[in-house]
Amino acid sequence: MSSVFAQTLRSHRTGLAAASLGLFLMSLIIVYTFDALGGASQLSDLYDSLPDIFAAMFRAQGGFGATLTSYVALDYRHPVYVIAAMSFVLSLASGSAAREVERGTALMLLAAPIARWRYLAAKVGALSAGVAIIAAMAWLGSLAGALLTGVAGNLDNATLLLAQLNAAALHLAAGAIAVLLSSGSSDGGKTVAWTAGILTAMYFVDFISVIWSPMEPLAPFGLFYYFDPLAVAVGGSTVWRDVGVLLAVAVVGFALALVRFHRRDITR
Amino acid sequence: MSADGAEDALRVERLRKRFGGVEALAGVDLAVRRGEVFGFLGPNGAGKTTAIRILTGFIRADHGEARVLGMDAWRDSVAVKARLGFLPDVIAFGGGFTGQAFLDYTARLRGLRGELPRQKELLDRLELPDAALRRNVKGYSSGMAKKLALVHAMRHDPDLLIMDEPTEALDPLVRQEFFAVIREMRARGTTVFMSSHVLPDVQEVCGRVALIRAGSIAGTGSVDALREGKARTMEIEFRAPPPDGFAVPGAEIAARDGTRLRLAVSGDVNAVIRELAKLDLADLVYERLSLEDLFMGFYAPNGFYAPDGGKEPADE
Repeated sequence: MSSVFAQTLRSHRTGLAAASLGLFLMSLIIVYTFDALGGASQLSDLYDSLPDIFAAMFRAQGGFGATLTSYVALDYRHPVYVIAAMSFVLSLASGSAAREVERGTALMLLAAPIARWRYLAAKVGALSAGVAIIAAMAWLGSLAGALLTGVAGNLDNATLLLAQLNAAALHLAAGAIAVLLSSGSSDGGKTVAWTAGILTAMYFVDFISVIWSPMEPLAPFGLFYYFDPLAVAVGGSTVWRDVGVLLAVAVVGFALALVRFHRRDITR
Repeated sequence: MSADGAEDALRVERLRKRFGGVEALAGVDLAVRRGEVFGFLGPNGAGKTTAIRILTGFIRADHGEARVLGMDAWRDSVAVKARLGFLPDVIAFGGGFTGQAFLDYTARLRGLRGELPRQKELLDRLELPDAALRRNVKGYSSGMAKKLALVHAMRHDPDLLIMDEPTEALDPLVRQEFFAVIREMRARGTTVFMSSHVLPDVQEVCGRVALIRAGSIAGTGSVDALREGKARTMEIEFRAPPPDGFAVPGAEIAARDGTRLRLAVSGDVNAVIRELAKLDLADLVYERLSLEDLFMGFYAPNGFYAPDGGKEPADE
């Protein structure tokens, strides 16, 4: 199955390179903006002076980072970061089954003596590798930014790595939802649309639940509830719970997808 | 099992498949002997592709049994595919491959390693040169795509070759070469099961055919056996218009236009000839019933076996 794994990464290399490079640069630049905004003390003063409504919106987007590490960690939750990583995940996941059935390539490739579940498992492996590459590149971008600005001593690399683990677990869980939808579908476009819709709804619920208490009970049902890089940066104790929940969602989603793809009819 | 005791290459019994409200297969029974080239004919929507996808393990039947090379087509699909060559109706390569990269990738999927002399031979015979293989498959014409897919299906010398419309988009010369390859494979004992709309192609290589209509097999047998007892057309041109009330025992007048007459001959042709010998003819054409005539007889609205015709062919 190494051929399917390698070919899947090869066919998504442009998207993977764009997401990785983009997030590397974004992580690098964000370190520069920390000093440009006046560093820890001025950011803390700025936050304290914000009207309550703006402070609440900061919290809704993940919180407020007053140290370099927490400031950088918060970047991992920025919508641009999330969208860049998710675009790769959705593209590969929707192509893993639905698009291949839609285009007819599944008929040619699965004419080989390979169990369908193994074929899809190789694609899930490629998706996981891509997610790991993106996380590593974003982490390296933060490191490079700290080295270039001479603040490497102020950056807690191990904590940022843990925050990236949280991000990667989120991306894998989102990928599992996409692969599960893809495994039973013959329409790649619809798979992307459904997954994007589900993730957007989850993001929205997570955002709103912070500033509107009636939505709070719904928050734990969304993936983004378990993605809190700021909590990681300030030493929050829930990171392993969060990573565990997200990885459990990913494992269950991928397992169901393998079974579903193995048993479905390949027909458009 | 065949009558001679040998296990059939394909055996389908009471096969049913429904997609939503549409019954694609309504109880198909079929057997293909090892080493024969078998044609599978039917109009669009008759159930050919559904049957083929069940045989190749892409679709699971709702009911009935499909056995391929002695194995269950769905449950043992990996083992079946190890001995199967498959050409689907939809040719799509995906992934931004060049032709060569596609062949290399799918060779790895099949566990083929090293030089593939059979692949080289097929590429040469089907006229797919190295220059074409270096091009991205997105730029392939439908004919080139079909050739690449044929090479992909046949290069590992499968025990069973299942093809959905194999000759569509091939030019006449390549088509003849393809037939030669099929005959050689048959001589080596390969079983070939092919669906086609190109009836002369089926006539060219298939020993037996099955005709599928509305999800059921309407007839199975050799082309000659299927022709047996079917009306054949005789075109006659008289020097003077035939007399009113002209009739021939064993033949029906299908059309009449001045001095021309078309007869549908289903009885003894000798009686027809004796009757015609009494008249002054300018020309007479009596062609062998082609598979196409037979096909039209089965499927045309006014054909021999149209639903209101009430006649059904006997299975072999």
